Amino acid sequence: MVRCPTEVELERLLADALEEERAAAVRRHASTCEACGAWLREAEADDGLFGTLGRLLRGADELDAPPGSVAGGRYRILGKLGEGGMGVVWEAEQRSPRRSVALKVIRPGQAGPSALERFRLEAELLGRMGHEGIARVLEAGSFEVEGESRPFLAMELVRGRPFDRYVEENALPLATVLELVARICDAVDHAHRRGVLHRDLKPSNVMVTDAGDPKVLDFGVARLSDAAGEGATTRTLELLAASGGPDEIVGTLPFMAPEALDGFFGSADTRADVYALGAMLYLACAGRLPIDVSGATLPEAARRVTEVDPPLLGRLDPALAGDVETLAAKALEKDPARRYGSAAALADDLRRVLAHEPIAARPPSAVYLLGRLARRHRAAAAFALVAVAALIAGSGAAAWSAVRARRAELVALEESARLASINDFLHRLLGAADPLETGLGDGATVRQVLDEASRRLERERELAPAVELELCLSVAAAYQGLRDLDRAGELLDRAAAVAEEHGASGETRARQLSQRAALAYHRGDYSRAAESFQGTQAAWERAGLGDDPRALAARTHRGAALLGAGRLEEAAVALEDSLAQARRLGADAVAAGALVFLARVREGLGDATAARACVERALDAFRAAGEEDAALAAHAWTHRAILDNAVGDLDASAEASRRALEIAEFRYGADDPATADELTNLGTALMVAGRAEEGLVYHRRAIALERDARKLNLAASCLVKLDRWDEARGLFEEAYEQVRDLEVLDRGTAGAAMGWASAAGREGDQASVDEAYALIAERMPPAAHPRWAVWCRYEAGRALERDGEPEAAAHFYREALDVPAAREVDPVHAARASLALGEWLVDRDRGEAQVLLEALVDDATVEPEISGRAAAALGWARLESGEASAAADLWSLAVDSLTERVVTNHPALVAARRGLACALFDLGLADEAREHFEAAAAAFGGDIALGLEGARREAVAARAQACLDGAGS
Amino acid sequence: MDEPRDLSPDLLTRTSTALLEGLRDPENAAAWGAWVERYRPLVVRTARRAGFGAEEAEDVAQSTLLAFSQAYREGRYDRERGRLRTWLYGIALNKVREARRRRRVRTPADTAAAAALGELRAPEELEAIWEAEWRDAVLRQCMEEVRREVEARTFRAFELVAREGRDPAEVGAELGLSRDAVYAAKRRVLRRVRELAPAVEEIW
Repeated sequence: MVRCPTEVELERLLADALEEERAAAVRRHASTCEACGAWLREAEADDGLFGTLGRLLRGADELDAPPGSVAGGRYRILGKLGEGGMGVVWEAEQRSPRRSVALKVIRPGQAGPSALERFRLEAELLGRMGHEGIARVLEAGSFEVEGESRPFLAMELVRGRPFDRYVEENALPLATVLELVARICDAVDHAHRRGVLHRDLKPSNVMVTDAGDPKVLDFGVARLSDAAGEGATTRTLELLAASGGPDEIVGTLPFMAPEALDGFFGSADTRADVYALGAMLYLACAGRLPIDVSGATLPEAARRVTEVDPPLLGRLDPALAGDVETLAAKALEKDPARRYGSAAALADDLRRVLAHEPIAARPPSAVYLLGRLARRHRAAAAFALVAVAALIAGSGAAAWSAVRARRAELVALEESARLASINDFLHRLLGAADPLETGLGDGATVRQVLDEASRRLERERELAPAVELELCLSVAAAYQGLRDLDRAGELLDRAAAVAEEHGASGETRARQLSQRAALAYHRGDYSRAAESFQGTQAAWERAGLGDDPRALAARTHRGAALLGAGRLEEAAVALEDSLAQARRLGADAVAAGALVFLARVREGLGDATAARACVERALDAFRAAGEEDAALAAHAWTHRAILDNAVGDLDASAEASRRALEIAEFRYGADDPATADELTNLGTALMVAGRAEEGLVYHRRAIALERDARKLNLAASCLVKLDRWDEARGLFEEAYEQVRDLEVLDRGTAGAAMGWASAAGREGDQASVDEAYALIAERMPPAAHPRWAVWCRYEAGRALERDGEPEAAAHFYREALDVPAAREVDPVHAARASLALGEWLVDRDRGEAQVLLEALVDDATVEPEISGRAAAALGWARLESGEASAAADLWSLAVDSLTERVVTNHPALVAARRGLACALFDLGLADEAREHFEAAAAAFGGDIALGLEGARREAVAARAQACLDGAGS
Repeated sequence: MDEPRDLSPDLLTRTSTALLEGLRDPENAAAWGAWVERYRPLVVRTARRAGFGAEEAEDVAQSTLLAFSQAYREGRYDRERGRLRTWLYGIALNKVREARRRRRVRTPADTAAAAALGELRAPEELEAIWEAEWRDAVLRQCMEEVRREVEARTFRAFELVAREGRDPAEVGAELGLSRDAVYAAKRRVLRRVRELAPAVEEIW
């Protein structure tokens, strides 16, 4: 035999599947042929490995799978599909309905009942996604295994190949790749619109079927693993302290957006998924990852992801230059704000390329590329946090022993300078350089380092006074950043004693005073804080540092303290002064801070226009200072959201709120309680914008972090909007339990009482309703805080109106007006309460309504929007008593003043135009009426009489009909 | 014949060196998670084969990894001075002894294992178990790598013949493959695992 047998034949030989004669021939050949002999020896040696692997495959089943081949009585395990961070995925056959599924069984971890409940809720949300490009979640539940619950997900079984292999093996033409990615974007966008993030998009999570259809797997599963892993987290407390499943980061680094790595892990929004899509697009086009992490250590890989720009596609392949290169770069922007805002936007651009249309993405400008350096610097700082902590712990020891050796005062001084610079760095990282900004949040490691530092400080009695003073102040500032005010206070006391005994520089004294003042502020003692800040300001001036940014900050903080104390007029003066100084010195960041507080003062004084101007200027100033992610910038966005909401621009309000949340997540991390407020705000903004389902996702995240009365109440209101009263009730009750023993209620806590009242009212529990109302009336005593009393009652009314309880709302509006001298102490909210009450009374007690509303129309000091709406409400009264001309005047006044203040489709404005149209029609001015009718019909989605009832509804519809028909004939 | 391929980027970010590097940062939950993910099963399996019940084995693993994390953070582990495998074993052995002192083994993992092992007698025995488990873990990882690399059907074919010892022709019929294709699939997976093993062993 000359020619070698084929491998097939050799295999058959080994398997005894060759005819005897042929087998003998092959054996003879192998005994003389070196290659075939080697092949057979190797194959025989592999028999041992084969046996081992078989044992491992069987063994894995025994230890990891639910015992027995049938899980939960319904799923027959057929085989293992794969293994990931969360657990093992099995191919299984469901009994009824009989179908093949992918069964993901979450790894053992002592998931408690609440974690399981969260898991179930999340899975329910996932189950609602129905998109051909998303593998469906069929069922979520748990198996009992050896006495512990193991959550599982049954998902649609997708047969196909992972995205990267599909692209590689089929050598797809570019157009096909782009279309494929666009379809994946469609699926991702579908989920985003339902409030579900993927958070772990990567090629292995996108399967492509043989027909070329993409299916995204494991949607929201990274999140689910958090939910299910709660128990495990407490068990492996130290090991898994902060975030979700391990695969979330390690295995998927090249597909993770920088912001998810930036500083603290875990923050992600829809744009992080967009980034991952961009990375997949890049991989598919270029055949390589945008960021090469091979061979890198974890910190190095993370650094590359946050800092290194991927090579432009055109450099790798000239055919990709131009649009594809530009849109991939945009999807892979380091700064989420510069990325595509949604997966849909990315899909649109991909399809524009396919249709040879101009794309929306533009190559970045040189100015922008330069400006991005600032952001890189910040990312590096965040990564340096741990390094710095280690530095303090380590080099601190060296410094101390050096000091103890007392070799020379010189050494101590050098060390002190070095320590001061190190501390300054930690200090800035904690946000404590500005004592009113919140810190990085309660990072355990930072705290451990601080505790260690202060423990050493206590033991150490031989420090040079300058060093001791410096350390006390720095560590105190850091504690303040973490809101451990008692520890901060102790250290400040000690600093004061040292300064008293040994003297201190003017600068050090000013810093010491400033920290004291900030302490009072954080303790809520605003009047004392205001005084202290004034003293601080003087101390800076005495030290010859009156123009130092810290001196300017003291002015601003005095204003903030006055605001906190409710002394709005004084606050306005102090803040204007601070602003002018900051402008004079070109200190943009200080000016921005002053403007944020000033906006709140202006709004408190009822001047929404000035408040908005302040917010806009503040945001500009933050941008100019390169401080777009400052804690106060988040306040500015929140404020902007409130103002947008007030003029009815609800989507803009939600967007502003989202920006505030991003900043909070950037600064504190997504899972820090400090971000919970912003989560609630965004949830509420979305709810008010009619996107309650989306909002609920944020509310749930918020109350998972912090269950205070305000958050619980707003989350419950969101559930009410979704008609999920059963779930809302528990939250309302929990919130009410928290506030019923408070001595004084504010707007947030009063809201919780209102919420409970509405829940109880729904169940016919009148006693609870009365108790809740009584609580509000008692605990918001007008005498103590008349301004707040008016405001709170008005807000309580608004909340009830939102919840569909107009009668109870009217009760609170009346209460607001009944606060003694309501119109003097808080003219703004008194006027709003008058309007709301008047609008409600128009159809019930026309006489009283007219008195209330006419007073508003005639009052020149009332905001135009309020008087405009009052005029509109009065219009009906006039029109229906036959005074069409007077009605037209009133409505026309309303339209003019509303046009200035609100968006064009604001319901109040549209309603006023509709009223005006009716009056004009009655006056025989059909042509002029028509325009308004048409605009109103368009804005109201065709129902010209939207929101009206009974005879008025018919009368309006009849007029509109006649008017519009008249045009046709 | 396959071209030898590089390890996947997934795995490269998960070398023990990379993981150890990540562990230096106590806030790096991902590194901790990956760490636990990798070595927990190893300790659990060893402990179970040594005769512990599921819960106790988890406890042993838990305390082993915690002790390691403390020692590591305190700088007591020097890579130059010995292999991670050996060092981790030392800790695990200690924890097994502690657990044993606390409570006599009452619930062996399964009767076969109990009969074979009886009481744990000598550390050498446990060490052999440990070494074997470590090798198994490496092979498991290799299989995961191969599972990623090859056609799903190829791996499935291999799995069915290897795990269940089923007849290649029958497996082929089920998967729509010829018997010879099943042979080839089996050979391909075996070869690739063998190729990968030294590299994975090196970085594990």
